[in-house]
Amino acid sequence: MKFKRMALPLMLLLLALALSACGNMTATQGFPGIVVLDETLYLSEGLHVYAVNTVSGQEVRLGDAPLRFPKESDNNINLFAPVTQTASGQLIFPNSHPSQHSLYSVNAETGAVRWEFGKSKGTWIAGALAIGDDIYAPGGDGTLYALDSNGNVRWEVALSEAALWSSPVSDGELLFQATMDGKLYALSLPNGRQVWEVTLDGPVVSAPVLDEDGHLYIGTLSGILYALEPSSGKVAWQQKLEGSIWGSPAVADDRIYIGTLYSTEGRFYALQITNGATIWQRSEDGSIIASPLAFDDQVIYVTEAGRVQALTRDGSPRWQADLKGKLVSAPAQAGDLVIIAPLQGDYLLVAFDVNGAQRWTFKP
Amino acid sequence: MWDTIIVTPMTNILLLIYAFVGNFGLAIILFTLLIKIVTHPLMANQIKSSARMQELMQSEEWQKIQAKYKDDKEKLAQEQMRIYKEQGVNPLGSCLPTLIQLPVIFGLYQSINRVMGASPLQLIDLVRSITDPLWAWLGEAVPAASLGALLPINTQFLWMNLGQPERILADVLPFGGIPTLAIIVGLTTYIQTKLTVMPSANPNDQSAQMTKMMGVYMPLMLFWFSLNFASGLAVYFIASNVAGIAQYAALGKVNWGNLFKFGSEPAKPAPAAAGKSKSKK
Repeated sequence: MKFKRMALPLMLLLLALALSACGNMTATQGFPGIVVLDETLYLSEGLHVYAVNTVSGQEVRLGDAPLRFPKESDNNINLFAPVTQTASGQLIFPNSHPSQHSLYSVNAETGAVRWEFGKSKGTWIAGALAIGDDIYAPGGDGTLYALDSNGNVRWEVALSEAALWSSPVSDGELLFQATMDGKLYALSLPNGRQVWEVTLDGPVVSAPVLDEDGHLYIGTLSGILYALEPSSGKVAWQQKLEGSIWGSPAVADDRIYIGTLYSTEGRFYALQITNGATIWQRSEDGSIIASPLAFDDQVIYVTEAGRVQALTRDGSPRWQADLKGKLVSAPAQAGDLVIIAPLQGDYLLVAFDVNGAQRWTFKP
Repeated sequence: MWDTIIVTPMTNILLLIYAFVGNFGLAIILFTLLIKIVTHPLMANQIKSSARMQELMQSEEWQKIQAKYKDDKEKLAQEQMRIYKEQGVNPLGSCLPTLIQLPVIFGLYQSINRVMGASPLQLIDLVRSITDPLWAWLGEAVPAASLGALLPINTQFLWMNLGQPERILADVLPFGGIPTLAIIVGLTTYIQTKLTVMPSANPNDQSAQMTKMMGVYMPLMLFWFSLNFASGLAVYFIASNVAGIAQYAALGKVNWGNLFKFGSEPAKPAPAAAGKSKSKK
């Protein structure tokens, strides 16, 4: 009888666990955020930001303990957006917890919190942009916040009623911020005044990309890639691709590389930078969500199904690797290494050399 | 498979409702009502089966065999099966509809979660659902249901952001505000349990004990859910509770007298049960 009395609470507990697991509601389910600064890679991976030496693959240490933020796990902290570093060396990262909304400034050498900015009332998704010591943070409440090095608001602009998923970019004069409403704004860097606004055909979750000639490229979830004039917002060309564009494009020489999420499959394109015409394209079994990485004479992309694919500029396979877990974060370059951050894989980081040989793995 | 058969269709129907009403809170309520209407025959069957079972268990013949074969479980089971057959009652009649409804409940929960698209992984699933080859035609046929028109989902409903746990006076009160929606969820769940419980022949039997515990644990569990998870789910729980009470009321099975009755039910004890109860004392 005692066991049977316990059966109902146990069943309810199991139901609660099942619903929690089904809904993924206990934490913001983001992608691992990776940024390489000099020889240190900062990995935002849920409960911690890890600092990893890119040469050895070992965690950077502070005395006897690893340099992590926070030092101890805290269920009120959920870190996914990539870390940003200011000129004076402070690390900026937002807390993507569903109900705790702070942006932290942390001392890069000690991991100690310098200040905490808590004005935004929505879940932070995107990473901030640092120009010198100024910080431009796209808030989860749809407002873009410009902060000084002490976390004081210099200016703020409400751009959307939905969270800003895209990080801003700047050409040194203007700041470009896309929204989930399908808008792209150019704002004056010193005061946030709007210079122009363009309506795109669908929501934008990735950051725009500026090329060396000053053109702006941005993709939408509706699958259209735009090239725009940064000074006026005038659309130079647009190209409809198969699937949804989640990541930012990579620009190299006279080409633009971009992947798409096409149901559970993926498409990868090389486009002419002048008019968006397709040079070549490839199909993948897994969706291509992350931004590609173009360097030297190759372009590398990852698929949600766990494939790392390196191609030559003409689209021929150069090397490939299959990892356990979902690959949804953009590969990062660290010297002659390409570093991948699998989600739900065996390792948090896997480093390959330019020929596809695995060099090290990282798991705390 | 689960995703293709259950979650993606439910997600797209929810999105279609949202595309027409333009309010996600209202869409959740309408969607919950729609699911309740579709599953009503099953629910009605379950309620009727439960009532017939209850009547059967209160019958003189049933009580007699309980007393007669209380020390012979095998014989008792045989006799119970005989009575089930004679009375035309399916002992699983009240369980099966519930089991069939479970995937619907799980799917509903997941689709609401998905549509809120509050995190990157949820948004990827949402984009996949909208652009699924089986459903992509919907966006072409109804422009308001296309990806560009649907996203971002406006999760503001009354004073709430449906993608966030709900609190009022969060900026004023030191402990983070009052979870009004979670309290309403707890209360409506408690009221639903009280109103829809069938009177038991013996308050000490296992099913009565289970029902009593259900009346305590269920409101607490859903209160806890609503306290910590997105308030869109709390809106679903409330709509579901109110619709559940309406379903019972429509079938004349609401036990209004039970609402303000606390403690053990003063049910008329059957001879065998009464004897057992006395011996315990």
